[in-house]
Amino acid sequence: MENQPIQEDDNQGLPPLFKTWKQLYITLVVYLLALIVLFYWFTVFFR
Amino acid sequence: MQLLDWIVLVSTIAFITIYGIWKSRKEKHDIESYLVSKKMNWWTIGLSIAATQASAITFLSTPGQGFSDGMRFIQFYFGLPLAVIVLSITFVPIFQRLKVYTAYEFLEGRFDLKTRTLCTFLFLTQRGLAAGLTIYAPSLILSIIFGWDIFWTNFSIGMVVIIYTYFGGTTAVSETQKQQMAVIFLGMITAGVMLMQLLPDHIGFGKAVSLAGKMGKLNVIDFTFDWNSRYNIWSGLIGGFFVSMSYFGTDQSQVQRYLGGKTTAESRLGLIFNGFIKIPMQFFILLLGTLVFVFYQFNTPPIFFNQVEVGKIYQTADSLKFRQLEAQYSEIVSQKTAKVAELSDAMDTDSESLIAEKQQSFQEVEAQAQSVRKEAIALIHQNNEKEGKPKATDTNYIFLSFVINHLPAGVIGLLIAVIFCASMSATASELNALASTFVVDVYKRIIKKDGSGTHYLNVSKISNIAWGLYAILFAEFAGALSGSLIEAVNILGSLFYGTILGIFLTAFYLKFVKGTAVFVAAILAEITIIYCWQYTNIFFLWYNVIGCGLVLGISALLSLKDINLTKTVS
Repeated sequence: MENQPIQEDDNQGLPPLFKTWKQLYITLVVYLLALIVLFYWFTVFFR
Repeated sequence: MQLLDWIVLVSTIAFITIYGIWKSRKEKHDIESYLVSKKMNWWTIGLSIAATQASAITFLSTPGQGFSDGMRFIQFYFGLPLAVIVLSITFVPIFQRLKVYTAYEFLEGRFDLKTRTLCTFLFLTQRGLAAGLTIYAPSLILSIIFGWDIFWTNFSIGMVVIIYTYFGGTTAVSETQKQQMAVIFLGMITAGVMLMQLLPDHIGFGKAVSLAGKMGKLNVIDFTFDWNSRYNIWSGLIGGFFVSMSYFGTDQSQVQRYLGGKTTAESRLGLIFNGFIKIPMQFFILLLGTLVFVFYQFNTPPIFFNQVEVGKIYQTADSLKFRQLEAQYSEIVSQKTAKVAELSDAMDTDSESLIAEKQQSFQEVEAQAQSVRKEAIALIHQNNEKEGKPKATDTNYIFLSFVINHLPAGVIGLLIAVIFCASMSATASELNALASTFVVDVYKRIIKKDGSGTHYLNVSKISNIAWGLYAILFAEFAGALSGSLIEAVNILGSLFYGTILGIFLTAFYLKFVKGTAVFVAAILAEITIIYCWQYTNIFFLWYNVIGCGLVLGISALLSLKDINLTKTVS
């Protein structure tokens, strides 16, 4: 069992909104950034 | 607890147990389907991963954390979405392609048997003890609050889990976790709604949140970089990333959940699902804690929420002093209620200067209240020190104390069911993972290689019972441990997680490193971590980063000769 190169497998099984896995991962990163911005606003607004 | 609470509690637990056995009855009972289903869709995997991570202490301790320290604990989870992306790209497709049943099986193909066995040993040691603590921690709190016998509380939680995991294997674990998560969500939402009903009429949700903010509890984000601060955005993103990588990528109790996906895509989506839901879920639980804090601005809280400790101090020579402090605290809380009402009125005027003035006024009284509370806690600590017992804390008791003293019959039963469900879901995954790892990586690989499928299935079932009994037995003796139990669980994980993660990252990313180099690096890293634990003051969260870094660095250094040799040959 060699350490094989890591490849993106086919894009089957993705939710209909996404065409590639990369799009889904970017969405999650953007979601995390949006949460951080929202929480920052929350912290400042209710201080 | 009243009869209605018992009916809700017992019927919920009985339904879930019977459902788990019934749902897995049609499973073809062979070793493969018993240990790893390989038939699950993404949302079953996603809920199963969430249920495994959310132990009872999450629902007991997190609201308490929100009550006493505000919302900043949420930052600890910021590294999780990033970790699940890396795992989804790297770990999941490799595990699925190789059709492994445990994460450690992969290591023999990539390195050698000794590295696989080392990781197996580290996992069984750490997770076996942690399973005992997963049962013990909620049992201790429930037994203290309700006066239940801790032996029978441990035994009940452990035995129920043994029964359905014995009959249904991994399918029963995943199926029951869906029901358990439903009960958990229902219970926590009900608690939130009831809490809002209990606030004074003029305090709606928006006003309660605003008040919590003005009282300094909505401190969600902290951009300050401080090594001594446990929760800021940097420790959350970096430390949280490494902890999540270790936990979701190398801990069999989690790996087994997503190995059960019928395709790589289902496994990936199950993990990614957790990247989306974990932070909002923890946010809601913490917010519940801050709203309990607002509730206690209009209702007098006990000076210390762990009433057993209060009962003990009443029996000592410090009793009079403690009672005086209680009376003083109660008086200050009354003043505080008046200040909160003034602050609330000021907020309606939109006058910044008036709000700031009332906020300042509230903070002064709050400081007095905290000062008196600290004196009372110091008395409790002194009393415990005299008896050679560890320092008592009350964070874990705040939410349950609120539940049993202020919520109606039926809802109390539902929330105790939440705690049982959370404890059972985490324990079930642990037992399932311990049994799989023992059978696949030890018994089948080292002890008996040529057994039949039926033989291995029977060994898996016996192993499941054995690990369950071991966890119950350890839970029975856990009371003898000194120090905080929850901290003990976290330290225990951090002692091993970094090294194991380092081995896996070396396997995936340092292709020139071979088995002996990574094995030696792992041993040296583990010795260093144990040294750090015993002889330094480094915060245990950093053990994960140090252990992982050492394995990667040392194994690369030991393999430099191999890189040069490869270059020469090519």
